[in-house]
Amino acid sequence: MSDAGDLSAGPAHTYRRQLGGGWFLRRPSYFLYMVRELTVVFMTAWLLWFLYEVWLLKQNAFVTLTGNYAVLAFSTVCLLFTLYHAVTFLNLSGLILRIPIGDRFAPAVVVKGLAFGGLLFVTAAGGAVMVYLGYVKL
Amino acid sequence: MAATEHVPWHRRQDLRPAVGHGFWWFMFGNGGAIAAIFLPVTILVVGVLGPLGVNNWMEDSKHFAWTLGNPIIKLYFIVLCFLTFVHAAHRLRYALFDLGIRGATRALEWGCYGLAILATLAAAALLVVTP
Repeated sequence: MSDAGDLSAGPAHTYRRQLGGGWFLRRPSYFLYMVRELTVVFMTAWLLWFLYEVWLLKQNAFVTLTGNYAVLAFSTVCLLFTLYHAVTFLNLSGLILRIPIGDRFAPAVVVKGLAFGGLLFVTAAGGAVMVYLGYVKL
Repeated sequence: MAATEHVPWHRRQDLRPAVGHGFWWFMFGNGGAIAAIFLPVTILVVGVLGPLGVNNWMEDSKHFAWTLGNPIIKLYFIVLCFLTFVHAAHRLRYALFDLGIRGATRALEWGCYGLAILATLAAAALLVVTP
């Protein structure tokens, strides 16, 4: 009896190609995939900085951010990565969110449009409220 | 030879749903969406327009404290922190896998998700007691 038909011959061999640590440098698309994965580092870093500012406020040590170009540079970098996260994440909403309408689903382009519309609406309305709160006389 | 007893699929131990896995994926999806929609405007107004001289709610300590005194604003930031941290934990856990760190799966999961939960609790405590 040949080995080919003998299941008791031993464990099956798998020929999985081993990837090194730098596999994502081989193609631009792989690189952009890893950049997308690491956007969360900048999003988290910005929120932690914000919490630090809250802590400074609690300690009565908060200083106005106007003219603080270090914060401007840090936030600009974080904003670019956050926008990259937003665009790549919301781009997938049409594939992932299945909204039933009768016996069918809402078209992917509609779902994607709603997601990006939500981003634009929140940016415009939320931005207006945040700026308005700065003009409230206390 | 005795016939193998038929067991319905929903009673098979090897086909039990991975509830924990599903939960973290669910949180990852929700966190990603909330962060994608709400975080850019917050960074834009506070971190970019603020230093450039545009008045906003973090203009000075008086406005900052007054705005943070609102429970809805506190809740907004607690939820934003929680969902963003959990989303980040899940992404980092799989990014480390992609980068070749494939051992100690349990420890990595506990480390990533545990840090996210601890950071959220710390953020919530800070936001509740401030100003």
